[in-house]
Amino acid sequence: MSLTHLTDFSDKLSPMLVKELRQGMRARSFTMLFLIFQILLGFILLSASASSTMDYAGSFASGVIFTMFGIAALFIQPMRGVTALSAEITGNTIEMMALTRLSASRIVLGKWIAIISQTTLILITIIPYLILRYFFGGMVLLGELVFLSLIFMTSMAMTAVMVGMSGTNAKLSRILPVIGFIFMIQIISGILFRGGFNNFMSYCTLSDLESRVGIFSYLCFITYLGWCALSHGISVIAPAAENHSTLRRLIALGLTCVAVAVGFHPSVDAHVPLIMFGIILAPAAITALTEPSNLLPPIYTPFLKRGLPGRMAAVFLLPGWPAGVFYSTLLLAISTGGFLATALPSEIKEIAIYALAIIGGILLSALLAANFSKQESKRFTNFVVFVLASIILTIIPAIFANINHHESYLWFFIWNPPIFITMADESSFDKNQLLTAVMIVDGIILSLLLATATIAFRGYREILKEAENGLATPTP
Amino acid sequence: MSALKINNLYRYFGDLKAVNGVTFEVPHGSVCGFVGANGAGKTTTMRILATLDYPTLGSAEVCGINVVHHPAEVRKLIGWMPDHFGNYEHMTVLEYLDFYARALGYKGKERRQRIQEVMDFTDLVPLAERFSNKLSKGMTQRLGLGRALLHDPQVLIMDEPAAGLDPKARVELKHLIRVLAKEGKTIFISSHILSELGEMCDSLLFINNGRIVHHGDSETLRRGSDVMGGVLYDVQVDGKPDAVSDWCVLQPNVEFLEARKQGGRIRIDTEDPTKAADVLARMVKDGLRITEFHREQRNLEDAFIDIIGRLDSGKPAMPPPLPASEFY
Repeated sequence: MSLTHLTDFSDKLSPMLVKELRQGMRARSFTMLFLIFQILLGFILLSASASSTMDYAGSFASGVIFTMFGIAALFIQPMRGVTALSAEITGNTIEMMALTRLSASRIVLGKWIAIISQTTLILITIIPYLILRYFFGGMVLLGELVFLSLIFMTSMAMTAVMVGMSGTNAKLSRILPVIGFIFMIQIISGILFRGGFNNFMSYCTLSDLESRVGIFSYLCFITYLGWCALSHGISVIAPAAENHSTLRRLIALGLTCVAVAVGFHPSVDAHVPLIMFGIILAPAAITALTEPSNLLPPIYTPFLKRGLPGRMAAVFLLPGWPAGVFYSTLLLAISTGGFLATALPSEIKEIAIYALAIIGGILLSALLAANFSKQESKRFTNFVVFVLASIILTIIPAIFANINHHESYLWFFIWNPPIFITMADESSFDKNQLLTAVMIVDGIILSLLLATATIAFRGYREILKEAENGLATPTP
Repeated sequence: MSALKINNLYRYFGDLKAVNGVTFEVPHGSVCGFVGANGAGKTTTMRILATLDYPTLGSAEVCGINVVHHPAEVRKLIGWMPDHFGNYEHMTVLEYLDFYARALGYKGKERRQRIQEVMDFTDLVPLAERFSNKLSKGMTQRLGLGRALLHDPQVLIMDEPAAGLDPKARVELKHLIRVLAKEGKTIFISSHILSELGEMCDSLLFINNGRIVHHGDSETLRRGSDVMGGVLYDVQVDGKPDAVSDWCVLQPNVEFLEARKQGGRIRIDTEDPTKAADVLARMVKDGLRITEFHREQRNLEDAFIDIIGRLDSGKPAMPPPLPASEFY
């Protein structure tokens, strides 16, 4: 037996990355994609070179290269992450990894980086085709490179979403965020390609401030979203004695404060901080509201060591949904305060109805998940199911009311806050009345959620006491 | 200091009390068998010891280190072999062990040396280039054992390692466990195959409905002393077979259990061999023509069923022994 080939990867590389690369490079899904990709690109480039006009051949080759790379990077490669963590969980291998020095974050990042490495390999192999395409002429070099980078960055974020969500036990919860992400990409692509491919290419040349800010904001957004998903995946597979929630919550809290500060800048439109709040708040609050409440004494110990401020912070930052409810309420209060302080009074009313309707929908689903989740591990899945039910119960009454021209029926459904979105679209409703109603409904739901969380938090008493006792135990 | 120490351990899953006040200790360098029906709480207890689960109440320690407060330290001391584990696609046996060796922090030459040692010990050398997901159950278990031994742990926790193995693979596994025990490792092993556990374990722990119902060596169980402190005897007589049962009716502390061809099985409420001699003498004195009188060697399955049966019928599993003065 020869052990020499075990030196094929450096010791400095993460064990997880080495494992994933060894497996991934042999996987048929990668080798087939790679080969088909090369054959098709070669064939199409040859066909293009036979074209009568060089300009047409150039733009045709660009289109084909970007389309094919887009399919590979935005669909096939991220999809390979769909079972990244669930396969380890069901195969009972995640626990064996947990017993090694591999932390949950190294496991998740290793899986993510391995897929990204393979996407990079595909990206590298299209460079010769791009060089060939350069000779056809008419190439916007910087624009095409930026566009290629954007596809790659989006692929990184999508892969992060897929890998991060793959730890969730229900297939539904794994697939829904992906559908949401694809939907979002479509919307963004629709906005970007309004003026056609060439206009977008000139946008990608970063020639003006607007395009630079736009692309930078987009990159920040997908980075945050990808990080949220990876962080969620880390929490799912991490042993109960590890705390990954507090850091995530602190980062989201910091970003919310940044969004408030941005809102105070005179040149910033009132909608910008609102969009920022939405982007920051939604993943942070959803994760916090649906976390399993398997609190162990060692998790509380670092808070205890920081005295009274630590104990107070623990109310918001301890892992688990009960503290998550208090934390989400804090985020909500900061965001609302920031928005009210920066937005003009004339803009507030309509935006507030939509925002409160969405927030209410999330809080209602969280309230139901808090009260009807027997298994801690299914809390997130239940939340997703309740969100879906809430959406359905918004759409159906709206269709029914529209068909029968009895919009006033919608008042019977105001216990489901997203119904206010459809009501705000109807001219028959008074906006002041709607704003008051949505605030009352949200207030009731939030009060009930806080009451449920307070009761659940009291259940921690024994654990918190044990942590205080454990503080006296010396580390071996 | 014990290798494993569990004190008043509880683990609830909602309303289900998977572990319900378990207390026991396993000394260093011993092999302890953990026996119980499916759902008795074996795996939950073992998972808590392996830092993969956490107790609702109570404490668990490995070599004096609390598994809840210091899981990272505990993980360095234990090797965990679950009842079943998946292997990876597109990964050879060698690469599989290499991955775990890297994950355990081994580097360069030391890593390769450690892999070599483990492969030699578990006889995985001929399988080095085979894909790990194409191995038989026996080979997979050997690979799992190799993985668990990579960091040379002091304590090995094995959950049903022999489940689903053919007789040859079982013998091989038993041999490996014996060698490890000789090396001084503490082995905590659960199995349904009691006879095999009896052969290799220094002590046996019986668990039922989340509670420990017996902790002792297998020899005591085998000699026929039941949980009430009684001993079973096979008695054969010349003449009427009913004579034994009729005689037992009139005797205190002697119970007739079942009729056999020329007599039956009786149970004497003490382990003291002199009292058994007294019973035999009284039988002879009362005119029974004894042709055979011998202490039964029970197998461990019978002992286990006896203990569980007594619990199910509401009798205590471990009552205090009868004082000698109360006998006769």
